[in-house]
Amino acid sequence: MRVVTRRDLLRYAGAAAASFVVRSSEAAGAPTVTMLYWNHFVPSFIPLLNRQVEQWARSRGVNARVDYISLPDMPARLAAEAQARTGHDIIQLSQWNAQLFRQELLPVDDVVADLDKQWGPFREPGRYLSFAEGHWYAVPWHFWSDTATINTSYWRQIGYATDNVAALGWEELAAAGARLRDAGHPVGVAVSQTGDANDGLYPLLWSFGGRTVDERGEVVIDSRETADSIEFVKTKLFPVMPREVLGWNDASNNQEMLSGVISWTPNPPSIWAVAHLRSLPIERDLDQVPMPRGPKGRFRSAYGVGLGIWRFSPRAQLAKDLVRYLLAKPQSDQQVEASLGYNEPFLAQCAANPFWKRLPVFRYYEPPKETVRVPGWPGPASKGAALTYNLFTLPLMYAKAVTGQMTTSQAIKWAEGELKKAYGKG
Amino acid sequence: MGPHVRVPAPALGAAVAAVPAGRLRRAEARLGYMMVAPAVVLLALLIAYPFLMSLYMSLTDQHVGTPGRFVGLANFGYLLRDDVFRQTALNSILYTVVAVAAKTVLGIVLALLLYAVPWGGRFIRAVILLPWVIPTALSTLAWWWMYTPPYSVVNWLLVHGGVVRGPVPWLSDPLWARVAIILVNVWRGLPFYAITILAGLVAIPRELFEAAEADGAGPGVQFWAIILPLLRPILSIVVLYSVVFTIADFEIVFILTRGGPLNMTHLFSTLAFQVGLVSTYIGRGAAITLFIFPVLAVASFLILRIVRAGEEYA
Repeated sequence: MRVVTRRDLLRYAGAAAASFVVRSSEAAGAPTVTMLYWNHFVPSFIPLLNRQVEQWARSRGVNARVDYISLPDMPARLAAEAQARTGHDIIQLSQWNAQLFRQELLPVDDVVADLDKQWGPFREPGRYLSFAEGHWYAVPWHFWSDTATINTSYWRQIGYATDNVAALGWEELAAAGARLRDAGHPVGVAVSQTGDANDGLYPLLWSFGGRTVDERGEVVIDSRETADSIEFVKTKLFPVMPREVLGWNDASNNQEMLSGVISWTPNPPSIWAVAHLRSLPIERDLDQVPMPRGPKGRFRSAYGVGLGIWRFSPRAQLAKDLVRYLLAKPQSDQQVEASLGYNEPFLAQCAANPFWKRLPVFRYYEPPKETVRVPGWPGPASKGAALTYNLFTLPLMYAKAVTGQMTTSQAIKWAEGELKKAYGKG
Repeated sequence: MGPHVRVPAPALGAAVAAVPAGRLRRAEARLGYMMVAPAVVLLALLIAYPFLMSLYMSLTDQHVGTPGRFVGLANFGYLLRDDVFRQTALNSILYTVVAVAAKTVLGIVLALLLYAVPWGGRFIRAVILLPWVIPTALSTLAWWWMYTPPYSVVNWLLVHGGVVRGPVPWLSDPLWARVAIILVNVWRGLPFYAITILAGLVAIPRELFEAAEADGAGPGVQFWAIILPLLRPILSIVVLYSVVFTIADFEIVFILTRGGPLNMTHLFSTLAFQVGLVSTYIGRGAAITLFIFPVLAVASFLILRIVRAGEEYA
């Protein structure tokens, strides 16, 4: 082993100190724009985002960094940054967060106008989530939405091709579900306290004509349509599903599908993406179909992601420039590819991407065949909508009815009380 | 022990004797205050400030990022009328009482077994501590895999062992979900109980057992007449510590059930997270967490009374 002499030690220490001084002077000379984003479900998206942000930073002669955290950790992080009035320059604002945090957010009307002119218009529900009191508080970036993932081999066994499954209504799904259950491969919608339950059951309610609130935020859950949807779940859908749907979390239906257990479940294409990225044999059996049709239409629940800038950001102009860059079509096209089609851009021209036509699994995903809405619609994107979603009021209403804890009308009355409290009408 | 321990110092004896006793006591008191000051400041910063802050927030209608208005006790009134909160309060008390009782009984049993083990005691103690040492989030995730239907090793064992006919709906049935979270809490907390109680057992003078045996007392009598009374102070402290941490539990429920099914496993901390942080109703979230305080105050009062009773007995 080579002996380190006193001279070597001094030399190494000097070099280390010099590199520290150089790095410090670099950081001091050029500002660093920071961005907060979630650990994307499709892992190949993250290296691309890093690369795009680095390219932008190099072209502007600044530094830039993206910090990634898990989606469940996001509310606490945003709350901490808003309370402390310090943190990232650009933040991911999912669902109603642009509305909830708008007092601490910089209006981004100029960025939205530029992007709208060049690559627009912005598709719904972008405006619904990001626009309030005459200003845009987030730039709608992309959303993901719940079509249904199916295992085509199980459906073939009962005589259904993918296009037949794509045409099904809820009633027909339940009827086919009975045969699939008997074959050991039931259909499954979460009826539990998890995001997937909201995203599966809101479209069901809407497609029966039920709404939680109206356009003014008045609670209208107590309706014949809501009762019909509950009766349908109680008597037709729940009996053909595994009882475990009452305890499912967001990963449960993914695992049940990837394990080859279930045959149909509402989900974005992440199940297929995981099978594809890991080269799982089940990939060839997976496909995406629209959500079933109800008496009042076919609906799909969306999870919107926008980018916002804190009012207290000292680098707001640079942050706006980075947002403009990331949402432009050349970058957006790469993002759609890297996210394996998971990210659906809000900007209409960015959404017109040949990627979705290239892979058959996406033919029903984009452009959507259903009416795409965010839970809480058609009421305002408000704290009430967020609280109702986060406390799982709608899934609980169905769960109380299907387990027999309450009758249909009692469950609706219970949900009405919860909604009134959430929307401040109680 | 007396209030002061004085070490005789012959060389300083005359000088000390010359200082009036009152002045000396005041100087010592000043020194005492100075020495505890850093700890007091640290406690004030880390405990009193967050506590007072959450007390203040609970009296406002504050949302994250907005200052909020003073609303008095409105948040508390709202919660007391709220079905979900009342269910959560019931869940929290049930969860704490059952889990702490199970850990106490099983902890004593395990400590007695460890006390009696003839060889390999150190190794067994180290292994037993593992559940307590592993990060809770990690071990709870493992439990989730063990409970969840397609992979449930617990169900596989129960079904193939002939204990049950069909799989147990661990996380989808209100009763079984409660059992599931309590089981994980007991599994995680048991080592702490066992090792602490074992330390108490080892400290009991062996002469007491020898004398009892000479008087013809069997193991049962020795347990009730010697072990349990002498363990009472240490047991009370362990129970108090465990009550505090069990009622404030978060990770187990958050990972396993998220409060479901039907809100039957929500605890104060998980509901406060959903309401205060996820939904940004931080004032109301703070009020939820403060409901832990009176429950803990009553538990602490009762347990410390038992400790004092134990001291008098000892």
